[in-house]
Amino acid sequence: MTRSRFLILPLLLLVVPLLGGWKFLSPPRAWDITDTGPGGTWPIEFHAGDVVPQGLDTHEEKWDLIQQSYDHWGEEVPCSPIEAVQGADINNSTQGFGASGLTTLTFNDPTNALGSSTLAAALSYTSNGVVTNNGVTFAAIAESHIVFNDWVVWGDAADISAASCFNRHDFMSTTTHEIGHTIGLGHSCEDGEACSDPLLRGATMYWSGGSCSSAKRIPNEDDAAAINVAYGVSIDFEIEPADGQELVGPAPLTASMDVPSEYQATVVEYEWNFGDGTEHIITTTAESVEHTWEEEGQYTVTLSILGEDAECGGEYEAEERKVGVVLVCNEPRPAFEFVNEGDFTVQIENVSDLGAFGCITDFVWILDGDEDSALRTYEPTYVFDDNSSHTVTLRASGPGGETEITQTIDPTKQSGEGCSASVAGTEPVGLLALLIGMMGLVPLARRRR
Amino acid sequence: MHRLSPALLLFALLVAAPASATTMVELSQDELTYIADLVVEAEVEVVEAEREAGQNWIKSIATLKITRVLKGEAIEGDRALVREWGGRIDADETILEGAPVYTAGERVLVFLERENRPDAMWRTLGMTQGKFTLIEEVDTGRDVILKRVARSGLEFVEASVPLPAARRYSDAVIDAVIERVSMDYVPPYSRIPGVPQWKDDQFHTDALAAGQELDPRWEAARAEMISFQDGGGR
Repeated sequence: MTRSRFLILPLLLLVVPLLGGWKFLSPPRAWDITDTGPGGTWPIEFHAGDVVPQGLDTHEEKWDLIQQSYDHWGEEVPCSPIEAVQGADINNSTQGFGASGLTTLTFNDPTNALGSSTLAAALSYTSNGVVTNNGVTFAAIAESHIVFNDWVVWGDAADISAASCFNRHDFMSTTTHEIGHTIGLGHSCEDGEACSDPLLRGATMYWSGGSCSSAKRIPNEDDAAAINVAYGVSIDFEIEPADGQELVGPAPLTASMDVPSEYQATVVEYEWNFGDGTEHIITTTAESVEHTWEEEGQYTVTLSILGEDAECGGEYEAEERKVGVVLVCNEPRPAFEFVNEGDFTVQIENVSDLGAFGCITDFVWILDGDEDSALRTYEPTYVFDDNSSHTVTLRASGPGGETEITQTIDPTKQSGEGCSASVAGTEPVGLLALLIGMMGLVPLARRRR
Repeated sequence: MHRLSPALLLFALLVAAPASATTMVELSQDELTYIADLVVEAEVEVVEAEREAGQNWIKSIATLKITRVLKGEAIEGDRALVREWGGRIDADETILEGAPVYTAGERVLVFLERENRPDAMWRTLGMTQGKFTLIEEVDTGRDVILKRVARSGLEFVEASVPLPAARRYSDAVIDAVIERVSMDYVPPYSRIPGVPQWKDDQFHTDALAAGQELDPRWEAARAEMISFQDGGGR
C-alpha cells in the first residue's frame, strides 16, 4: 500500500508551504533485518577509527558512546528492532567514506571530506537487494560510514551537562543523528523550511545542533514514527475534507479521518489529536472520526495507538502525524504604510498580518485603480514626477478569500512624511479613487538586470 | 518484514548507490560573510558529475559564471568551479541530505570557501546555508531569494518557480553583505567546527583588533585544539 503521506503532500505543495515532518532519505533505503545468516548484514556491526576523538578520554569511552547511540534507536523507540554490535578498530587515517565492506566511524575528517560548520556526515551504500515494510520499498543498505569533522571538541554526558561546558559538542547526540541517516532517515526539517513545530526542531534528525546541548540524544516521536515505518509496526490514516471543501480553506473547515483496514489488526485503542487544543477523541474501534476546525491556523493531526503485537514483544505504541495537513484561514487582513523618501519617491512598507503560514498567497498593488498595471510584489517603490495625489490599493488573497484596502498618498519633494492604512478604517476602492488615479503621473521605476 | 519479489530488482539496481547526510552548526549571515572567501552572484552554466579514482561516491562540479562580486578576488565574468556532494552517473546516484544542489540555468547568491585539498575547487560554505536561489519578480525586476526550490530535470526554469506572497529580496541581503565587507566587520568570535586553523587564527586576530572582549576560555580551548591537531589525534 502506498502511504497517504506521499499522496497528500504533493497536492498540498501546490497550495501552501509545508511544515515538514520526518523523511526518509531519497530514494528510500533501509537495512534488511532478516539478513542474519553467515555473511549477513544484520545486526549492524560497526568499526571505529583507532583514535580517540578530541574531548573524549579513552577508546573505551568512544566505543561505549557509539554503542549507546545505536541503542537509542533500538531501545528508545517503541517496537524498533534496530540492533548493532561492536566490531574492531580500523586505521583512522586511511578509512573514511570509501566503500570497504565494513560499517565504519572515523574521526578528525581524515580525508578532508567536510567543510566549515559541518559536525559530521554519514553515507551509506546499498546492495542490489530490496526490502519492503509497511508498504514502502527500500533499497537494502549494505554498509555505512560516518565521518566526524576536525576542529571540533566533543564531550560526553558529564561534559555537556556541566555548568562549565564551553565549546563542546555532544558526541552522542551527533552520533545518534548520523546513525539515524545510516539507517535511512532524512532531516525532520531542512534549512529554509518553516520549522516552527517544536517536535520537528527537537527531533534527533533536525539538521543543526549547537554546543553544550544534548537535546538530540534521544529520538523523539517524530523520529520514532519514521523508524516504525521502516522497521517496525506503523499506523496510518486517511483524511478527507467534508463534501465540497478542501483541506485548505476558510473557517470553519470539517474533515473526516479513517484508518485503513490493513493497519487495524493489532490496534486496541485509537487516540486522535486534531492540533487545535480541542479534546482528544479516544476509541477502541476504528470508526470514522469527524472534526471541525473553527479558527485560523495550520493544524497537525496525530493518531496515537496502543497495540498488541507479538513481534513487538507484546503491547506497543505507535503514532502517525500529518504535519500541517489542515490549513484554515480567515479573510486576509492587508495593511501598509508608506514613507516619502524625497524627490517624489514613495517607499511602501507591507505590514499585513500574514496570519497562519500560507493564508496569504498573493499581494497585488494597484496604483490609481489601473488594474492593467497592477504589480505582484511584496513592497513596491513608486517614483512620481510631482506632488499630485495618488491612490494605492493593496489586494491580498488566499484560501480565506480576498480583501483590499486603499489609501491616498501624496508624494513630496522632501523626505520623511508618511502614513499607514489597514483593513479597519480605510475606504474600499471606489469610483472616486479610480478617477483620482486617472489624473496622475505614475510610472513605477522598474529595475531590470 | 518481507522480502521483495525479484521483479523489483530493476528498482534495486537503480538505487544501488551511496547516500549521505550531515549535521551542521547554524551560521549567521554575518558569519557566512566573514568566513567566506568568495561571495558572488552568479549563473550556473553547467553541472557535471564526477567520480574520483578509487572512490565510490559521486560529486557534482557546477561551473558558475560570476555576474557580481560582493567579496573576494574575482571579477565579473570569471568562472568559479563549485564541487559538492551528490550527483548521478548513469544509474548510480549519490545523494547528500543537506548538500546544496546546483542546476544549469539557475541564478544564485553564494558564499563559497576553498576546499582543503591539493586540487582545490570552491565549496558552498555551510552546505545549504551558503546558497540562495535568485528568482526575478516579473512585475518589478527585483530578485527574490529562495532557500528551497523544487527542481526537476537538468535545466532550471526560473519562470516556473512560484514565489511566496511574503518575499525576501536579494538587495537587502546583498546590501548587508556589501556593508559588512566594506567596514571589515568581524562577527563575534567563536571556534566554528571545520574552519581551517589559518582562518580561525585570522578570525581570532581580527576579533581582538576589532576590540571584542573574548571569553578567556577561548585561549585555552584554541590551544587545546591546536595541540590535538598537531599531534594528529590520539
